[in-house]
Amino acid sequence: MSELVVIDASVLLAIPLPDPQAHKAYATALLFATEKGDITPILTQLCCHEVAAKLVRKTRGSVVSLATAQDFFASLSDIGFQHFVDVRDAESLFVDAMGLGCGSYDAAYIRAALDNQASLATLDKKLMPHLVTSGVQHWQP
Amino acid sequence: MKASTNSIPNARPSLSISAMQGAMFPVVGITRSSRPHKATVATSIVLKTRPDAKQQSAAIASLVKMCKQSPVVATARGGITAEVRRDRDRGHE
Repeated sequence: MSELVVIDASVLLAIPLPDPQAHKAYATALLFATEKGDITPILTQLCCHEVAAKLVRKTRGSVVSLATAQDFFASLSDIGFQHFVDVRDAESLFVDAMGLGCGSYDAAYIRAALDNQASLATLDKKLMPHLVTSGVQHWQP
Repeated sequence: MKASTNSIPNARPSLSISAMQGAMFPVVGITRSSRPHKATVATSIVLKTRPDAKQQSAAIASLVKMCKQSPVVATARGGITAEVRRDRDRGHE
């Protein structure tokens, strides 16, 4: 059975942008696991915003070419993501982040994993302690 | 594409299914949470894509190639992951 995995923006951004080799290996392993059907990747709206915002900045700053950014998004559109759209109001996000003991952006990823009984794929080391506290498994290749 | 939906008891008008008619993907699930002092409301909507296997395979091959061709930095501090964290700590929070 395919494992549900919420994808943090850090993993997707490690594909077109500079990052350590170990991070790129992790992102590649996630792609291969998707192709094999071992996992079903889940994208949150927050992840989409973070990825788009970063690539806007990096494209305008000529860190990455427009063609590369376009290829990146075109490829992502052919992958069978589940899209998790959080429709909670601001108060609910505030209360959830306070309860989970982390920032609201970290809490949004953790909530997506908890609600989907999914693990979380992230390269962000500061997010990882919150996964342990919340009982969310960190996805490992 | 076939869409399946769940009803949303006592949902706010802004969360109604009619708002999703222009969505790119079929709605396959709605998560609700119950709060003791308020009516049950929707908390999330799951939209599922059904990819073409060949297109997905080609897309993944393209992304793997892009990942291998993009720059590698020696330390995490100089990479995009660290930058994402800085944005979350400094810009968003």
